[in-house]
Amino acid sequence: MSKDGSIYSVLILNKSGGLIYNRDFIPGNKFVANDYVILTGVFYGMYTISARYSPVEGSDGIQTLETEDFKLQALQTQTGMFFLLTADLRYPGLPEKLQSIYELYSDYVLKNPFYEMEQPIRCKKFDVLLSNLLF
Amino acid sequence: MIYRFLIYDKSSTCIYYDEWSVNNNGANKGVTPAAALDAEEMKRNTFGLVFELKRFLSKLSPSPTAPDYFSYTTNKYKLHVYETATSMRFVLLTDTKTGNMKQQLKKIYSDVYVETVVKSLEPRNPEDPSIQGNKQFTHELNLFLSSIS
Repeated sequence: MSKDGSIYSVLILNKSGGLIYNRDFIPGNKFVANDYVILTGVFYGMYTISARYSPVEGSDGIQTLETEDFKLQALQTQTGMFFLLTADLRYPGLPEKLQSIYELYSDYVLKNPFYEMEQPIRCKKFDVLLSNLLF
Repeated sequence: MIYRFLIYDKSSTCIYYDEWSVNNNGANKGVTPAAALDAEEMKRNTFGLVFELKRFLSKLSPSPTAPDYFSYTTNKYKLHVYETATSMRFVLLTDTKTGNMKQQLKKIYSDVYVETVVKSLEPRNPEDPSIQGNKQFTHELNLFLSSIS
């Protein structure tokens, strides 16, 4: 499978900015789970600052973040959660994919009677369907 | 459309700042004391944001090196940062439709900053690294920015 246009990782943050889900799709990642926790902790702060110091009225925070190697798409839900998706620059339709991930979350995590709100997500069905969605 | 431009030196000091709002054409640097304080806070926070974002991106990135250019887009504006090898940061805020500004920011560094500031024979005060008062730099910069907006 070519590496062109692939998804690198999915991260989900709860209302308090805590990491409740992370999934890497690239092999040999240099990360330990703890790194992600620290990293995503700063995301909410950066989001807020980017909204506050906008040169134009009424800006929300960061939606897309791009370097020359990859891009990150962020979705802040009405409930204050964050869904983050990192992918190759060429991957099309990231905002739509994020919406679909949010829908999967509502169907297979929230409606799971054993799932506790704001806690780490450990729902097998969600994992399986997420892989299907992205590949 | 360019909204704001800032330059930070390697010690995180903001040495240049200008702002163009949608309503007026002139620079709008905060003339009242309260507004001036807000501007200082904005400059510091923008630096912090840029610094943290670069750390965040180097950790997440599949490539082993840290990016020298990156940008983010919100629903209302886009921020571009170019960091030189000497750890100076050129930060540009534009509308959301603007594309990749890496080459333009590099040019501001090499053709405007280096030519009018680094190569300048004017005495520089090490206590005050600001180039806000450097007329030659301001003139060349405004010429350049008009040509790209």
